[in-house]
Formats: sequence, C-alpha cells, structure tokens
Amino acid sequence: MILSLLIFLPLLGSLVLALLPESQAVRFRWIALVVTLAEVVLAGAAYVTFDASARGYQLLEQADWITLPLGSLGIASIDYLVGVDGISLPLVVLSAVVMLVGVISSWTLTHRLKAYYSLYLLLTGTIMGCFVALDFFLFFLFFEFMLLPMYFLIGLWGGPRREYASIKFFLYTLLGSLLILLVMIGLYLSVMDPVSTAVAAGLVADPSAVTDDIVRTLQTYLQNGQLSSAQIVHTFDMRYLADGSNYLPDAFLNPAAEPIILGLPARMLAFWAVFIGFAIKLPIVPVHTWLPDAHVEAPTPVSVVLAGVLLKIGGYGFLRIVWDFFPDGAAEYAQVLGGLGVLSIVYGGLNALAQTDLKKMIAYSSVSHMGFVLLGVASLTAEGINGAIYQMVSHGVLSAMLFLIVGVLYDRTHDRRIDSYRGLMQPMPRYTTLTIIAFFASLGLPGFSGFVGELFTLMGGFQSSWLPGWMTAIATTGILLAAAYFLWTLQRMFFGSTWVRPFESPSGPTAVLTDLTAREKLMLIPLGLMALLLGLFPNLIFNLTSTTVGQWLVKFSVE
Amino acid sequence: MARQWRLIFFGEYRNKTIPLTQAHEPNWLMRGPVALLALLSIGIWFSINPLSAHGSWFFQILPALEEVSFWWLAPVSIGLVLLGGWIGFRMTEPRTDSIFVQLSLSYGFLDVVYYYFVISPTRKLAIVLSRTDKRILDGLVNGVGVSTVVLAHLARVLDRSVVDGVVNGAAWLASQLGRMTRSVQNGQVQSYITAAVVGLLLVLWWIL
Repeated sequence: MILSLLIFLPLLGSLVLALLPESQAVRFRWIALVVTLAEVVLAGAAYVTFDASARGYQLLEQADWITLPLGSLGIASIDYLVGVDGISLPLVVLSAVVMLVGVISSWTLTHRLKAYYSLYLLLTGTIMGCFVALDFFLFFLFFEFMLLPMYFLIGLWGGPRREYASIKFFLYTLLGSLLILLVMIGLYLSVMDPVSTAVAAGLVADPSAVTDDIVRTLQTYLQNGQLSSAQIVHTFDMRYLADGSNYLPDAFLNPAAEPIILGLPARMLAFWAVFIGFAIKLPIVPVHTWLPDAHVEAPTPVSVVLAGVLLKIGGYGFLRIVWDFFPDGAAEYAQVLGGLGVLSIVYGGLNALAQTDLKKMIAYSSVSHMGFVLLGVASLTAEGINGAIYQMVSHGVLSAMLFLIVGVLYDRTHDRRIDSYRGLMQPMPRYTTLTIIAFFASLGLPGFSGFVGELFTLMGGFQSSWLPGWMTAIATTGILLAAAYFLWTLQRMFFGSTWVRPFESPSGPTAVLTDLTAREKLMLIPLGLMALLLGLFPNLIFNLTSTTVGQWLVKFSVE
Repeated sequence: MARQWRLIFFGEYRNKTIPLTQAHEPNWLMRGPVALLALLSIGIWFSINPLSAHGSWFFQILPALEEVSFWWLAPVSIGLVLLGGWIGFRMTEPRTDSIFVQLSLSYGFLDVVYYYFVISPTRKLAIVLSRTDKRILDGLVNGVGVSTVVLAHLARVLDRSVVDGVVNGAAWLASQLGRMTRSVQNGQVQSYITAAVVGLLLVLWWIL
C-alpha cells in the first residue's frame, strides 16, 4: 500500500492541480508542498517497515493488469507489480527528500504556476514508479513517461537556449529508451513466468499454491521441451527475467542458445544495447553531452531534481536490469565497463576544471562523480556495489545542494560566470560557509558523505578480481581533480576583496549580494546536515543495502 | 636556530616598520606558558645523566625489552648540536645570489617544476578536452540532428515529386487516356462499323 501511495499520491495531486482554476494560483505551491511532504513521510514509513536482514523484495503489491492468450504463441501477461529491496529503497528515500527540496526551491517562481506544479508532481510520481516497479513493462512506462514533464519543465521555464536543451535531452533519452525497449521485447519473448505457467499447464489450481519445488519442476520441463508453447506464460516480471532457468531453450536471448548477430552473440548485443540506454541516463562519457546543456538551461529546481534523482535512474538501471539480467555480459566486459567509468571520472573532472560557468562546472563534476558509480558496479565486489549505491545517494544530496548554491547567486545577479565574482565571503558569509561545506563534502573530505562513496567504490575497484589495479589507480586522480576545481573556484569566487562584474551590478556588489534568506537556509542547511550525517554514519545506507547486495553478487561468484 | 637567535637578539636593531621604543616584554599570559614549556624541555626531567637515559623514570615504568646500548650515541649527538649551534651563530650574512640561497628561498624550484610540468599541462589538457567535448562530441550529436533534418527535407522532396508524382502521373495518364478514347465515341454509326470491321480483321489475322 505504501509504494502504491508513493506513486499515485503525486499523480493525483498533479490531476487536482490541473483541474483547479487559475484563480487558486496561491494554493498551487502549497498543494505541491503538502504532497511532497507526504511523500517524505511515506518514504520514511517504507524505510522503517523495511526489514534489512531479509532477502528478496519487500512491500510487494501485485495485481493482474493485462492477460492475453495468444494461441500457439503462449499467454502474454503484464502485472502491476511493485516492491523494494536494498538497492531501490535508499533511492526512494533520496527521491522523496530531493523532490521536497525542489518544491521549496520553486517558491520564487511566478509564471504559469499551474502547469509547473502539475508537471512537477507528475514527474514525482513517475520517478517513484521507476524505482519501485518490478515489472519491466511498468518500469519502462514510468521511465518513458518521465521524459514528458521533464521536457516541458526545461523547455518552458528554462534559460535562453531552453528549446535546444530540452529537445536534446528528450531525443538523447528517447534513443536510449528505444534500445531498452528492443531488449525488453527480446527478454519478454525469451522468458516464462513459472508461477502462471504452472497454473496454465494445470499443475496447480491457483498461483498461491505454487511452491519452489513446482517452480523447479516446471523449469526442468521447460529446458527439456516438455511444455507446449501454448502453455507458456510470457512475462515482464523482473524476478523471473533475472533467473536464467526461466529462459526458453530455443529463445533468442537464452544464454545457452546464443545466436550470432553482427559478429556478436545476441545476448552480448542486447547487453550493450540496454547498457547504452542507461549509460545515457547516468551519464557516461561519451554519451553525456545532453547533461551540461540540460543543466545550464534548466531552472534551479529542475536542475536539482535532474542531478539529484534522475541521473540515479541510470545507476539503478545498471544494477536492477543490465547487470542482473545479463551477468554474462557484465562479467565478459567488466574491464571495458570499468574503463568507461574511469574515463568518465577523469574526463568529467578535467572538463569541470576548464569551465567558466559555475553551473556547467557542477554539471561536469556530476559526470565525474557518476563515473565512480559505474566503476563500483563494474568491480563486482561487495564494497564496490554498496559504495556505488551509497555514492548515488550521497551525490543526490550534494548535487542538489550545489545546484541550489548556483541558484542562490543566479537569483541575485542573473550571472553564473565564475570570473564575474570575487570575495563573496565579505557580503555573504553564511552563503560562503554553506558553499564551503558543499564543496568540501563533494570533493571527498572525510566526515562527509562524498568521502565514503568514493572510498568504497575505489576499495571495490582495488579488490576486484575483474579489474586491473592500475585502472582504479587512475580513477583516484578524479578526487585530485575534484579538489582542484572546487578549491580553485572557491578561491576565485569567495576569497579576496569583494568585486562583482560592474555590468551586472552598477550600484556596487553590496547592493545585490545579500546573504541567504530563511527559505534558502531551509533548503541548504538540512542538505548539509544530511551530507554530514551520512558521512558520519554510513551504516544508515549500508545496513539497507548489504544483504541485498550480497544476494545480488551470488550470480557473479558462481561464474 | 642558533642563527635565528643571533639575528633576533644580537647586534643592531634592524626593524624599520616598528621603532625600538614600541618593542616591549610580552605579558604574563604569553610569558607564563612559554616559560613553563621552556622549563619542562630541560633534559633533567627526563634523565639526570645527559649521557645515559638508563636511570630515567620513563624506562622504570616502561622497561625496554632489549638492552642495546650505543654508549657513543649521546655524546656524538650532543657534539653535533654544539657544532651546528656554533656554525649557525658564527655564520655571516650569506650572499643572496648564491645558488644555495636561491634554491632554499624557492623551495628548490619545486613549485616552478610542478607549475610547468603538472599544473599548466593539466589546465591546458582540461581546456583542450572541454573544446573537444563541445566541438567534436557535441558536434557529432548536433551533426546527427542536423543530418536527420536534412534527410527529412530530402524525403519531403522525394515524397512530393516521386511518390506523389507517381500518383499524380497515374491520374494524368488516366485522364489523357480518357481524352483519347473520348474522340472515338463520337456517335457516328459509320466510324463504329469501321472500327468493328478493323477489329474483326485484326482478330482474324491474329488467329490465322
């Protein structure tokens, strides 16, 4: 019930907002605030209810959605199936918090409020749906639907080049979705649902009577060709897609069958297709170029949501879909994947160093930090995977904070160039303090969350038997680069005597550079505290993830 | 340290910014802790015999496990300290153009080396990569976008002139054919009979 509420409460809120008359404009943001606050409470409830020591998915809700007998082609079945485990729950909680902060950050918005908040809540619902959906079809539905509100939020409320940025973001992600869709259909045709098939084959009367033994018997029947194709129920259920024994023996994506396409086994091709689909979302170099544009053009709250939550769907997709459904591909190409992670770390860091626009610098730092996620996942060690999930949560908190920091300055002067400012510490001491905290936390100062995420992914990289040590050694330069671009920016913008580009502020710097308002503090201080809390007590996350990750890794220890 | 001591406390007063009259003894808040630290740093608190620490309270509480004594260690180190102090105290003002002084003043030029071999190349690489990212990677993406639009325009032209051209052409052909056959149906009985006879002859010729 909790998970369905997480999805449908914001969708309902979105509908209500869309139906309210424009004269109620003052209430729109309050409605959005109440809904996102309720989301935080619901996510908190899920966190408390979750039993971290138990294996498998929890808080499961299942309902038949589409069942279609296709004659000799078998039976098509799509379920409404939601649930969480240690991989998705931390991201659900993160999303709830970031979406709430996004609403507070939207408070200054003045035009087209109805459309804005309606789309914002639609986005909230689809993001939650993405993280809790356990039916691939349902996941894809939310994944695709997320593009719509995002397209409009950037395209209507963005900066000067918003049309370009929004269409670029849309097309890029859509291309990725297309690859995912192809693989999804391939998987669907290749996999049976053992529980429903048992019912269809007349082995048991109803699904609740299906035991593990019956499932195993059925899987043996399937592999021996003792099931007629009309009896097989095809499924999008992720739990069954992840189990190699459910693959039809002559199926396209069966690990044993392996038809060759374009010189690659079909499964490897499918692996790369779905990897690229999610790599665009994360993003990984070289499919990252939508990100700087989207971030720079998006309004502050949308940047916060984009960096804080949307990127994580890429990393989540790696763990839930790419690596889990194609462990053979992940093992085969572990070095290439780790190399791509390292490339992202170093390339993103160097690009961040060269930026003159503060927001673009932070956008590229995101590319660098997401590289750690891929490195951790590719390492196929418990440290690496736990670290990758942790890094996603940590980056969600910190990038939200960093983009808010840019937003504070942009609200005052409408100028984001680093060289337009000097000595901001004098007129804006509180702002400077919080910026220093955010910068140091991001560059991996021990005690803050950034450090733990990077440490564990790097530890995973070094311990991994799949990745060479030098690869991880190169990745450590990412931390050095992060220190370089953050500290250099700090030095250029905040230290020294106060100066602002005169064009932006003809009456002198003190006229425009007022310190943080109460609303801004309300957003930044809790995020800073969260970064500190996570840094001091990393077990808040690791307790949730470790059992799931241990179970997740079993596939890779066998091979 | 000996040289510092000499430069600060001996000889002519040299500080030009603060006159001698303003120099004064520190207050007890500063002097007290310093005096205490100075007192405690005297060797006798550790060991009364400066040449051997065997009788020290330290080793009474924490006895050393292995007794390896170098009897010459203490005298030699004390001798080295005295020698260094003497050199430092006697040292004349070094020439600032000497290479050792220059090396020491600029930390062995390590900063310069780091600047030219690490920092500067990294920054240049960053700028180059940033340009590559903008021009090549993003250029590629935009190129794909632009070429798709160009392709779309080509398709439009193709659709209008070729695909639609075939449809229009067929219509045109039909109407032309209609126009041609209309002239045959002119209502004159003679021409109908002529056409029928010619047709009959053609059929016969084809059969035979």
